[in-house]
Amino acid sequence: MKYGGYIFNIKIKSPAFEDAFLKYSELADSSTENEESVNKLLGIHPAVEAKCLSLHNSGAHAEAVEKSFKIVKDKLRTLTGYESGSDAFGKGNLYIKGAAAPNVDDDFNKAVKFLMMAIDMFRNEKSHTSDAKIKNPIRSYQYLVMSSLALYLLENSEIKK
Amino acid sequence: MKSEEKIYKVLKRIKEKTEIAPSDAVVYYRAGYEVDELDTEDEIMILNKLADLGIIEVVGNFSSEYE
Repeated sequence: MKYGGYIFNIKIKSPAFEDAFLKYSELADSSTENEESVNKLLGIHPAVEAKCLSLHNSGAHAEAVEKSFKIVKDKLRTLTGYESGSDAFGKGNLYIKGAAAPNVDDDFNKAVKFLMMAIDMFRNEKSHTSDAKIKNPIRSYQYLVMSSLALYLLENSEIKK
Repeated sequence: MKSEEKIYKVLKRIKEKTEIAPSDAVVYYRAGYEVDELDTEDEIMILNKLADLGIIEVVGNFSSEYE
């Protein structure tokens, strides 16, 4: 064994670390999987799960929530070139497919637009303090679910000419 | 507990630490204190294995916090 001391200063090596993390998370026994499947079952988007759940589980709720909002903004920027909800739907001509019926398509798109705008406002509001007043893990999880919904809706979208 | 699960717990702990650290930062890991279910020997052995596999780089290793 090369290192015998109990104090380690380490750096992770990407992408080997991420690959190993995925591999061992699958190999770990069912008790570990069950512990985490509670979160998976509640419909957290894989992007949010990968970047925010470990923060959430370690108690860094404000950081987890803020990061999830940033993931939504990243997605909007990738799709339209604009990272705010209003610009993405306005100048960016973003259109979300999947309305319940053709006559409510406009309502559905407005609803998604306002969800994106709400995320913009929440991100701005929360980034002004260190704890974002999120100390309750359930509240933190609820924000993660909101970001997940936004991401799932954005996955079924197109740019209208 | 299976060895894969032990390794996963250590990887998970490292991931938690790196996610709140600046990008490319050196992370402090105190074997024996980071994962409740694992003892010091287990964690040292796993960190050695991760270093051997090129998953982490050990930039410092000490037997005491005092120089």
